[in-house]
Amino acid sequence: MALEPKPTQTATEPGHTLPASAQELLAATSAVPGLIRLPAGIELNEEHAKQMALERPVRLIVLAGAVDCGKTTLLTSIYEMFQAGPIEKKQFAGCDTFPAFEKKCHLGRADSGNEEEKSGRNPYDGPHPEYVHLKLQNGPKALGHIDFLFTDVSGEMFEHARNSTDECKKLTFLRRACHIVVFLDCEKLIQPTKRWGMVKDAKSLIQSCLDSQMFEPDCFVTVVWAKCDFVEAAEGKEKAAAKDLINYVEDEFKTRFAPRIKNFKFHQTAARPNRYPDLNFGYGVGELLEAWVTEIPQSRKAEYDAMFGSDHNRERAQSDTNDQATLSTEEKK
Amino acid sequence: MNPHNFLLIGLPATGKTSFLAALWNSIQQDRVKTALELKKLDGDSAYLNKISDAWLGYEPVGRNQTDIETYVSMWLKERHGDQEVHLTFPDISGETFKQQWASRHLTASYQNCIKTADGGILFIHPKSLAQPLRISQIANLADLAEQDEDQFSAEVKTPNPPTTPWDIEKAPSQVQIVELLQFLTVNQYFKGPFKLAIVVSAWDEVAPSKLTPSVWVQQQLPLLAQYLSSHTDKFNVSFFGVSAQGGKYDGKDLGALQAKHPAERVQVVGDGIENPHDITEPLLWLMKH
Repeated sequence: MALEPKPTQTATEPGHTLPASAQELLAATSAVPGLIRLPAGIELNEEHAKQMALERPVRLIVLAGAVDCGKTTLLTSIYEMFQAGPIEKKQFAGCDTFPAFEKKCHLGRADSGNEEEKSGRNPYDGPHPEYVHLKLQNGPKALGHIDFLFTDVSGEMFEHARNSTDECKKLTFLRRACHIVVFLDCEKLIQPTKRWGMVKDAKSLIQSCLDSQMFEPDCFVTVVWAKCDFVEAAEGKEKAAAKDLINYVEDEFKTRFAPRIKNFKFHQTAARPNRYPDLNFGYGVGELLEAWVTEIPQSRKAEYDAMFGSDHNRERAQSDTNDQATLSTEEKK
Repeated sequence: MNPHNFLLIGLPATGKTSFLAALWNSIQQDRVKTALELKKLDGDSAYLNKISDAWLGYEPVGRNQTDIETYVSMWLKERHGDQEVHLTFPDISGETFKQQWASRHLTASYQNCIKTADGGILFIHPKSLAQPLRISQIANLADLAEQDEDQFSAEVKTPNPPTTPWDIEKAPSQVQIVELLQFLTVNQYFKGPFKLAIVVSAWDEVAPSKLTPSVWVQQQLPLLAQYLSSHTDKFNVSFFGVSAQGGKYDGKDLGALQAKHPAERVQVVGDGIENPHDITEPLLWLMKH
């Protein structure tokens, strides 16, 4: 809250502009005598994200994937779920970027006048990430809070990164990440003309990041099958084929990447399961959040211990237990 | 003599001025033995008398104007005790709080209020809550509702309307309230734990639900409830339901209200409330905790 981020993104699509231009209002208020300017609450730029990380331990979660693969939808679903209550006992404890989240949620709300929920698309203007912030408490009795920064960047940024290791090396935020979530789009999975390209793109992105040495050795990499409601809604042979393909891709990715990524796993989400309403809103999101809270890269643990003391140690113990459980499962396999 | 300065915090139309009007009347009568009573007048009471007259006449007290920040002060004493207090409240317009959210600024005078505040009352009105729904929630509701088939068909055929641009002022009330509290906590003059009485206004509208004020806040404003629960180091909170008017100023309610002594129109609920007509209870809690 001590930060005063400057607007770093100009949106031009309908529903994306800051109406009554919050940005203009911000500029205007600074010039009015007797008024004290408050934090803008818009997306943090790289400079402000780094500044926040200097002030307190921040867990950076990178959401990586192609255009329209569900990155923003996952992000807004977390925010919308907290509007309704705690998620898996995790309590909302603050947000430095409320207006940014509100703007992102707009296209999915009735106020937008849309008939279907949509997510905005982030314009690409080079390797300049933007971040949104959430502060959580790991259960009502936990001491201290956990600050999360989430990247919300254009899928085009990752398209450039997968095509070129030089471009990939420009994404320096990857090296600060505690968790990297790589998206596989189930909407494309059920389309024969798009499925293999989608898989190849995700594979290329991970490969490029590894070959560019942009993943820290102990960061957690989760490949998420997003929009899995498309698979659940499919029927008969189409559904069986999709599930077979999921297994095939997971085996292939594990064979290729697990030797190079210590903490590598898969997960399924349907943040906005419109295709298969039997799945609840935010399906699979709670488990992701749980992992982000409890799993901390080894190299960062000392930093969190210093800040959170025994409370964090308790989280770490849980994390270690989870690590052990994961290891045991892998060993069994 | 203990001086106290309490902030009155709330978005527009949340019952701040109605509370003050009913309070000003209640501390000057003997029918309801309020815990606090007026000890002596202090300076200009014109504003308090004006809003109190409107309240006594069953008229809306009117909303404070954005550009007017009215300061009221009262010298009170305990009815059954020796403690005397000098209370100062800035009756700041709800629009001023709205501007903190939407325009991202606060006034220097509000900053001065924070400087001297040793507690505050946060007002929430059940009828003025903005609770935006996701489109899928609307669709689910529509599926449940029995609709006229022809009308439904006509609606389906309507071409997609253009997207309405995002308006920061239409953000959920709970988001705006949490942001106001966040602004307060990062203010250079903020001292925690800050005593915060949360008053759900127009409690007569909520009372049929049989919920307590704290449970009502948990159900209707879960983001706020989580925020407060996770910041017990910053906020010492108590919940109250207050109906300053006592009911609606029309129809059957008005007749029933007119049949009561004015001080008995007031309804107050909350933990430890002994006198259900004592509007000074939230103040007493702020003074004693």
